[in-house]
Amino acid sequence: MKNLVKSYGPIPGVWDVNLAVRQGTLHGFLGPNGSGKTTTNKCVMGLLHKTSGEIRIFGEEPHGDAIGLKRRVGYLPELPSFPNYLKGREVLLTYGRIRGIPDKTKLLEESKALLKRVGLNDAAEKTVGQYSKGMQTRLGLAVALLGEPDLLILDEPTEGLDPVGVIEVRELLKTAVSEGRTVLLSSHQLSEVQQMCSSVTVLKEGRTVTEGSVEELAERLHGGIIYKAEFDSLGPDLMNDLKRIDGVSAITTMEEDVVAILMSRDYDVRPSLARLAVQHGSLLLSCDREEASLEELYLSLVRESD
Amino acid sequence: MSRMSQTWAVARYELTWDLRKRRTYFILGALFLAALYFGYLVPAIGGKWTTLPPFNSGASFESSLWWVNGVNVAFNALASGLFPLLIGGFIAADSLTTEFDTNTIVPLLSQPVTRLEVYSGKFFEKFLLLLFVSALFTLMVLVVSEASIGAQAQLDAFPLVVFFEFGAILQYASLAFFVGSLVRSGSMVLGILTGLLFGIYGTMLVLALQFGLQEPLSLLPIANAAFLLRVMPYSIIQPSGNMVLQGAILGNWTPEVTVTVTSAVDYVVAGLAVNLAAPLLAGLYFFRRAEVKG
Repeated sequence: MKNLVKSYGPIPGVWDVNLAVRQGTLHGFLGPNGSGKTTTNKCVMGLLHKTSGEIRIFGEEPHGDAIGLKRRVGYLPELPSFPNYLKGREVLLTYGRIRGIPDKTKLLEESKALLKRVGLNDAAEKTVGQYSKGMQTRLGLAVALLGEPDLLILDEPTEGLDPVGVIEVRELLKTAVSEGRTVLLSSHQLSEVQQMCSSVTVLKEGRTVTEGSVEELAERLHGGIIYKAEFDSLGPDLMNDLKRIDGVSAITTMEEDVVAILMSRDYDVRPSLARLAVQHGSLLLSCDREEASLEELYLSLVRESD
Repeated sequence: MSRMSQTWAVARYELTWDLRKRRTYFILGALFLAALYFGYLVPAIGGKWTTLPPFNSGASFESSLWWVNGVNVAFNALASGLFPLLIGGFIAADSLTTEFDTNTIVPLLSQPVTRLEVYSGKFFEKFLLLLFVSALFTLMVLVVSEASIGAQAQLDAFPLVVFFEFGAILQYASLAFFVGSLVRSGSMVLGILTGLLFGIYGTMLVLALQFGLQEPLSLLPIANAAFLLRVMPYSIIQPSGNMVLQGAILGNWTPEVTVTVTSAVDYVVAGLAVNLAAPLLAGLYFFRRAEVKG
């Protein structure tokens, strides 16, 4: 995807999205609410008409009537909605038929297997109207997996799921990738993306801010080093001076007298911390150097952009 | 797999929905009551409350053909101008709009199916359902007439009567698809269709106040919007003809042009082509351009 722009009259939805996903990988698509992830996904699925830019999936432009291409793509929208008069089993059979799965026996078997795979086996005979939000998401995932698509575009697939459901879905996605499928995962749960994705694109206010592998991203984003420091006492004056240390990108209070200091470059900040603590009548009790999580890097990135 | 299969799959999806909607059974129940009313009560009360009193107008009336007249009255009388709207419009009104209202359009359009297939599949299902409903209503009027008035004749005209009725209903469905694609809100579609009907009645009221009662009465059969639409292409085919415009007014069956089955079918076919195709194609245009923002 190159320079995607989607505007609603004078209002920009997204205005410079660049995204490249390698086949057979799980790619994270990150961004705060309203950053344009869902708009981008809908442009990819032909649900919205792009204003300009280029989208290619498997070398083909994915307009709404690109049937051959859509057969290779499974899409889970954010908060999926299905006709509430259909039973879970019927949803899969109905969409399977619309999807063009010709063999009735095969469709029945696939539907049954998918319901089991997403943990809805016991709810197969319940109508969608009786499903919880999490169950509807699971059902949406099963629909996205119908017909064994090569590419899965999933918009917040763990939204509304209980912890067990989240783990199950993560396992399911890992299995999908191990089977050779490509997954584009939109998620606001950064730890999830870090845990599951090999590469990531970060979106902010309708623009791609950065993209690359999680490791590359950490490298590119200021070295990706974080110091967790515990002081004897941490007053506002000391806090202000900590922020002024050369190379500090962001400071987050973790608990009383404990802060996480994100560095914009790999620079050993410990001597400076010890010196400042003494200057302010305090003591540096401990200081651990860690690789920054994607979440911390992401927050730093968003703040930096501000 | 041929593309027809996809259209049929959408039609099946639509049919499943219609068969599980309370509204469908409400309309079928209303049709049954209407069949009782037009097949039994109207002749029993001497044609009161309709524009076609069958027994006391002096017009030649054959009780053995009441089953045909009953259906005609249902479609031409002022109070029952709502009839095709109720059946065609209301059944089709939420076909596209509910998909947008409830966001079920997203998983539907995300499948490997074109928007043309979704649109035509849905309309094809309405076509079949309304054809069944038209046949059922005509059959009910026939049975009720047979039971209440006596043996009915010319039963071989059954398909033609169904065809005329079906055409009127289907035009409202087509109109509902057009408006639905445009506004994408079920309540707005119902509002617009009802507004159209009452707009016509309002126009007639204005005419009555300006020119007297006879003028709008002469427009009664075409006040039913489906008739109005069908008459327009007919006027192109036979510019000098007045055809059935006067036919159902107060029992004066005095058409200025002799109506033959052939000419009637001509104008209905032409009317359907224009009045079905135009809104349907316009609806398809808007549906294909529709963006799914929700």
